Amino acid sequence: MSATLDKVEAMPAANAPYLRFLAMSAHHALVTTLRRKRTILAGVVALLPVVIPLVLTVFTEGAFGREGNKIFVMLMEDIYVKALLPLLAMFFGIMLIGEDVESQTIPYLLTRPVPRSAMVLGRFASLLLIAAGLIVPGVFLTFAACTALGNFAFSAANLRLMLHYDGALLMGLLGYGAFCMWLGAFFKRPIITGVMALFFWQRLALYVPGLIDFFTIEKYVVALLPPLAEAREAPMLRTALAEYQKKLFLVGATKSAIALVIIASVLILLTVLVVRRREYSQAKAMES
Amino acid sequence: MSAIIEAQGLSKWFGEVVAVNNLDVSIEPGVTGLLGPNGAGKSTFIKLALGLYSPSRGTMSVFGEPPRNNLRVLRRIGYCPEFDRFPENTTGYEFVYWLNRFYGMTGAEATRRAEEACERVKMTERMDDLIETYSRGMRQRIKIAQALAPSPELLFLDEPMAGLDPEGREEMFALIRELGENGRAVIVSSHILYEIERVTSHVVLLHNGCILARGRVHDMRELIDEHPLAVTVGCGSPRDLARHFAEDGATLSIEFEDGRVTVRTRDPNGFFEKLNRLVADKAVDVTSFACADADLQSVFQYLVR
Repeated sequence: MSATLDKVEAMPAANAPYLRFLAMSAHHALVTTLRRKRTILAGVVALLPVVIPLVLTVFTEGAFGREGNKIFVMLMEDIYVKALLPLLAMFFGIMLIGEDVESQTIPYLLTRPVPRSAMVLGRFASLLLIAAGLIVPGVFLTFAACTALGNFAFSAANLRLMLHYDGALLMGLLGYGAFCMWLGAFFKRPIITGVMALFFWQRLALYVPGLIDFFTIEKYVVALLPPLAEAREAPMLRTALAEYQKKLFLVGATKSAIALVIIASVLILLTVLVVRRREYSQAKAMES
Repeated sequence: MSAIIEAQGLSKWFGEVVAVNNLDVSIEPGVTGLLGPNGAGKSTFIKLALGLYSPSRGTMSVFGEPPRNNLRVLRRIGYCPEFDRFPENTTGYEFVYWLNRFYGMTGAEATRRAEEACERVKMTERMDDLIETYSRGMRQRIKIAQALAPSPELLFLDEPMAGLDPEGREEMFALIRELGENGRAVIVSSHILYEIERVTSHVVLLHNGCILARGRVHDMRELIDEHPLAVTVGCGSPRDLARHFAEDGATLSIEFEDGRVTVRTRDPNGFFEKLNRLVADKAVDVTSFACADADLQSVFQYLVR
């Protein structure tokens, strides 16, 4: 451990450009996330909907087997939008900052001269890349599998429908991803909080009278779905008043897209503030 | 010489626990030892200087600026933490490389410096293995490599000798002294006086978050020498090892327990020099050793009285 010190020159005084930190942070998060075993698990989960039309092709006969379009829409809206999208966002979003906090390795990063915003933004970019890299091929394979059923083919209109769902899912990823990243940075048990918020609160808010569904991400994602999607909702579970209010305060696709961008921006900003202000080693210090 | 670190009325508390209490201290370039028993506030002081904590009261400045979220300050600092935590599924080289990139280095520069740092801590052969496969001493070395790699002007080494074998300790002592001689400021924390004594004569003695004494080790040594140091050595043949120290006039007592021998000595320097010689001559096969913290605790209690 005593090689000549003169060999190593001191660091140059000038700061590196912000974009270098941003790209490096994204690259680092990408490399480390892709190595995790849980990423493989997430990939398998993202591809599960592909199996459903294939199974239906083999095991169903008659009219049900001829409804490839309905199966595709159902898989997109009920599986991808309502279950897989928040699940994948939780899978990757929470670990972006939360994993370093949980494993207590965050002091290594926080004692580096990297702008906190570049660190957070870079990691968020890696989340978008990885999750999109799982969702987009998953949607395409599901689409392709549904064409094996009847009444659905590789037509321009159907491909447009698929791209529409892709777009809605990616916009949803923006909102859910930012939310989960913030959860990971802010809460001690982000997974529990995330499950409560995304799978209990969102379900509850959509069925309770009033305007509380505005405080869900799903409302804005659903509003981005093709018009066909809105007709598929099940009003029998809602009260008449709730249904009336939902229609009265219907949010269009453009406003929903803007809302998701605003939600993502605010949550990313909050994450940066949390990372800047929080004393992550405090719990450990108190224990000792 | 102007101070690199200055604290005025610095306090930090966590709930009702006061970790650092009204510290007034200035630290100049060279090697400075932060000495104190566990819970004295050494690590909290270092984390305040690194900007990981903000002071509850008072001020802390490093290179004349508050360190919290200050990239100009962080750019000049290296930190080897006391905790033994690493990112999972990462090799030693990758660990150092990526932390270099977080200093803003280009890929090529980060690679070169990571290789040099691994070489400096003698980890070149194992640097491409996963950190999970390292021994405690190797993990300690790789932590030190990441702190040294950017050649910082100010280096914080929190309990750097923890987990190192006798040979590794000697190398670490030499490295820290060399860093100081090359004009770098090094803050070394330890709860073992002997370790601090080997690297510097300047020491800040902390106890219960307060500065108990500050100055030359020699002056404190005289006080501390009145209290024996207990060293527990694990080895294949404890009785053979004990035989070497039994005749030593400074040895007060020897106890045996499950392949370990605990020697209480009034002359820690002499004890460690002799132990190093025995290990180097392969006269004994030492598997572990530890200094009992209770002795230092009693010294502090003595000094507090």
